[in-house]
Amino acid sequence: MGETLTIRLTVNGEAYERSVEPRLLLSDFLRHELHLTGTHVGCEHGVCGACTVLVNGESVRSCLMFAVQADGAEIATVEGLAKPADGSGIPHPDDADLHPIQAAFREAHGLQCGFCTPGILMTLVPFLRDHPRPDEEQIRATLSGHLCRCTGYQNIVKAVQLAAERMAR
Amino acid sequence: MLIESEFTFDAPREVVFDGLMDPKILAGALPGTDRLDLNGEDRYEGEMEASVGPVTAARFSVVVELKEKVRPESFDMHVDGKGKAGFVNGIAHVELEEKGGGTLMKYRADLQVGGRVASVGQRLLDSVGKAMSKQGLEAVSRSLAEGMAPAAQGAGAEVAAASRAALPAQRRARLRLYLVVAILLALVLVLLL
Amino acid sequence: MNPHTAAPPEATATGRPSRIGASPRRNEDRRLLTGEALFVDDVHLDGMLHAAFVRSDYAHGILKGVDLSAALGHPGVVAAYAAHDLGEYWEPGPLLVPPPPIDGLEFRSARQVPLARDKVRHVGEPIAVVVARSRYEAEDAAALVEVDLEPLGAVSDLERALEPDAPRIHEHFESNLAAHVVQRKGDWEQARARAHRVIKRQFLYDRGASAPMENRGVVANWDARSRELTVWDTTQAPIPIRNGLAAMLGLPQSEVRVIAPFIGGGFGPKIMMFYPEEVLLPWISMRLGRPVKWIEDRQESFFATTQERGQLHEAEIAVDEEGRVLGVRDDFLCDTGAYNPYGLTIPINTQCTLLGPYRVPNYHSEFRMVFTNKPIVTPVRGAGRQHGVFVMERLLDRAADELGIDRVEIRRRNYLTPDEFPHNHEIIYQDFAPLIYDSGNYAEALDRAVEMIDYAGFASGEQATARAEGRHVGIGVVSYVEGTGVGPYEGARVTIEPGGRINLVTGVGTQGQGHFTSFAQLVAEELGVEAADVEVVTGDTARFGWGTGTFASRGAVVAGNACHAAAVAVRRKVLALASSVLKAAEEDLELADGLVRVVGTGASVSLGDLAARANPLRGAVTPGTEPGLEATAYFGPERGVTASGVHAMILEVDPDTAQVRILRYVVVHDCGRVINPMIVEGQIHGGVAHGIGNSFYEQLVFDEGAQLQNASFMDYLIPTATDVPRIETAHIETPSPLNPLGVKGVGEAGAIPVGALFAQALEDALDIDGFEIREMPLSPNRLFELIRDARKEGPSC
Repeated sequence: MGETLTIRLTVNGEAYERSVEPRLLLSDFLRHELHLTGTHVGCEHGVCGACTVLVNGESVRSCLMFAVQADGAEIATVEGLAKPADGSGIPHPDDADLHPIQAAFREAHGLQCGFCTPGILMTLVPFLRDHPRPDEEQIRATLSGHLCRCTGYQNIVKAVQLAAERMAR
Repeated sequence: MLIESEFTFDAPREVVFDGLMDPKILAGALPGTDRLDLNGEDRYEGEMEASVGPVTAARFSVVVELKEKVRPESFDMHVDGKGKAGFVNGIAHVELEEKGGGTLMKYRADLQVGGRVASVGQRLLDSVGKAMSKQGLEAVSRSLAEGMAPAAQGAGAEVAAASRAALPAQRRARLRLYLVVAILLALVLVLLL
Repeated sequence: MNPHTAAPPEATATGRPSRIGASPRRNEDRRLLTGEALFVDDVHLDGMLHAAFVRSDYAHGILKGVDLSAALGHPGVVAAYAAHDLGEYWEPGPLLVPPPPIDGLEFRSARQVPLARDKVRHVGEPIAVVVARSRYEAEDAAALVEVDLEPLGAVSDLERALEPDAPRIHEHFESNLAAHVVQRKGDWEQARARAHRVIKRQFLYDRGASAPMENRGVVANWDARSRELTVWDTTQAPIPIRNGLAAMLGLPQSEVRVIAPFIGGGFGPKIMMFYPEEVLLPWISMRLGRPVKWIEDRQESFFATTQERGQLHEAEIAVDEEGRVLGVRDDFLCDTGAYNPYGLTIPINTQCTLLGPYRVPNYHSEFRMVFTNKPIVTPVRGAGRQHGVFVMERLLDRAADELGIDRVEIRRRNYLTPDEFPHNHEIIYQDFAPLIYDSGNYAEALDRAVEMIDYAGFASGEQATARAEGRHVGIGVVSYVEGTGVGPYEGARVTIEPGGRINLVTGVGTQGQGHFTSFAQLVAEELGVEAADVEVVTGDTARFGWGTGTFASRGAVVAGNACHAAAVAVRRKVLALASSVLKAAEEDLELADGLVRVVGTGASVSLGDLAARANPLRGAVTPGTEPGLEATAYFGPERGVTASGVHAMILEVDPDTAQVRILRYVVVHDCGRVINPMIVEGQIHGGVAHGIGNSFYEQLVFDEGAQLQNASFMDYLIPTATDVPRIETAHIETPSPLNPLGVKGVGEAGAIPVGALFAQALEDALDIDGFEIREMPLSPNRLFELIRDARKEGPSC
């Protein structure tokens, strides 16, 4: 192990302090240091988007960032989207504990293997925040930063439209 | 992959040719060279570690052999470079033509590229190859100029006259090194990928 | 309210929300959406080490030596191995699919090895493995391994590989010919002789990488104290892997557990078995007594994971004046890469799928499989069917042109009719049985598709208008038949627990196709519960140890029917027990809402209570009874069932830039009885997207030295949301008589005819005299070249 640096950051509202090598990728830090494995790694060269997280509210490919660059930042990952579990392990009826985007994906069959999904969800959080009434063209343009091999994107678009509709209410 | 280019030296052909042929080497003259030995006639073997800006330490070994020498017109350079991220081998054909008082060098290299260099570096190979070759050859040109103006030192010295004085041995060796490294450095950037 | 019901039910025709034919929300979604789902790289064990592989940079070479000393000295490194370190464990992998019983077949088997020992035969072939505290350190140390390799000339091109002076990839074979197979039906020569027209063409069809978003990975943990080897593996075939590893490592099967957890897409190459990494990681864990993990990175995957590649066809079709097919002859070369562990599955699929939904009385199909210095070829979604469909559909299009018959009409004239089933094509299919179509209604699907896309009105309507405006739009219609649901068998076990929870376990794994839901529906249907009430476990050999895996569009057919059979058996037990408990005849009982009710009266007992009664702690039971409400059942079909479909497309192309835009895409699909329409449509959408990728964006570019030049997503282009259109789907259902549910497979269907469809629609749009598309994939560059050449030279031949 080479030299390490100490970083402090918050992830999903919780504060962490760790010593890391400068070359440790943020994706590897989240997954293997903090054991937040919901963020997935598909390519490590910034094309597939599976590793997308929010850094200070904006969507970022965590495979293209070093953990040390996140010092002092607020990170949000997919694990933080749903309301905290009440500990019972029993899912809420009507998916009411899920974030509306998550619930919409479930309803619209916007995922199949689910590997690309967390990255897409995190991109959609700021996207729908900034574009609450997107048309299909805008949705597809935003989704074009994510690769999905399973769905053909059609039901993902449907899910985004459903989420936008629900969140606008 | 083909690298094809030309470069003009402000020195006559014989000077350029001889400069590239002289076998004495100063391994320490070039940064990053751990070892560059003459091993038999017209055969160089070396180990280099290349750095580009903040990205350091791509190690590669290189063997270069000179063949088909026709003074002062042309020669072939057989190159075999291996790094951790790939390999390059092939043949560069060098031609020297008189042009004004100087020399127009044309070179054409047909290289096989493999390993990571080939599989992710394709789009860089061409442009980086050309850019680095040019850079290396400019360094060669400066050295030639230095060698020819006995009082001149350092980069930027202009060629004073078309003197046919033989270059000091260490100058000639350094030129060859520059040319060798110029072609190989063309691929260093992507070896680091 | 049942606490396990996570979503409000949706109404269906029968009023039962999650029965067969309904689309309840998927059981697996919550875990996937919240990031809780466990994928192989999420496995974390104390003391876990990490492996990185040293792979060949050369496509062909003699391995003279491997020096691990520098790597072993690197901080953090615990071990490093080359072939000589494996001792007797080193052996080539098994032949996964032996050649089918076809007369005169020639087959030479060459299988991959765990680490190269004497030679390397493709770029990326593993040479050594380094094990360290972290992946970063393992890669640092891997870079220090010295490989002494003498390069040999490499061969990449199929025709070149068969030339007598080509570099020989396997020296003990006299050439690079891996197989030669001829299949015949009727008498082609005679058909050719009496034909009104014979049309001959050469076709080139190349495919690509499966590129699931999750790369491969293995975690192996040998616990010496409890004597259990646990392997998490991104495999589509956990049970065969368990069996093979146990045999290789000298362990009883009961001490080996293979878990295929959530898998991020399979598409075929994850059922290639006994990859070097799968074979090495367990051995390393046993040697070091520690858990070890290897996760493939994306660049590695282009070499380390199998892929599908090209075929070169020379084909002829003989037709009468009405365009009826008298016979077809097809000779082709197919690329298998450096080894061929998967046997002849792909080219046999090509041979069989070429016949399509058509009556082809005379057929001669001959192929040569060729070794090349490239990564191994094994099935990728479609598995060789694409190539066959392309050849046949293109030949029909040519025949239609030459005879002046409409493209749709020529297909209709040649379709098998519903009264011609079962239809025996007499040649052998990938399941070793004669290719017999069980059921189908091709004309109905065709009619539906042309109606949906308004084929009849297109030429004079939209196309004419566009042409007047200087725009080039075109329409295409293609059809295909897909053999699915092949054996040998799968199994399932259904259990009702006291408390009412229902468990379903099956041996297949899941890579996103919704088994947790569709299989649950099958059980819910029999037991009168909701799909959400059924907990499904797949892909864990400790829970179910008999079966083969997910491939060849067989999950719903084979595993689904096993789930159904197990549920039926449990239902019988439930009725028998309830009958005695409620003191009513079985015919008077119904299962609904988790209860067994006596029709008419209010008397009922819950499934959970019945389950408790079926497993008493005291008292006597009737001799010969089994405890509990549980049953295990297997399903093994006699042969595969044939699904079919029609794809239609309208596209616009700019002949000056060769940019293409798909305006409409229609799929009419017959997969027999549909269990979950939402899931079926999702499979079709994904398949079509993959097909669009293979038609216009994806290509593995190898140079003459068999070096891959685009091993990343920057240069290997997967279609994005702006490249895939909206896909309109419709279903025809011709239930299969070959299984109780009447289902057929659908996993690969979307991907199969897309190349042929693109070619037809582009020709129609460009309308350049003599312009023909005979190759796949295209790309804007390649299409541009073809258009330019056609305009320059005039009609090509």
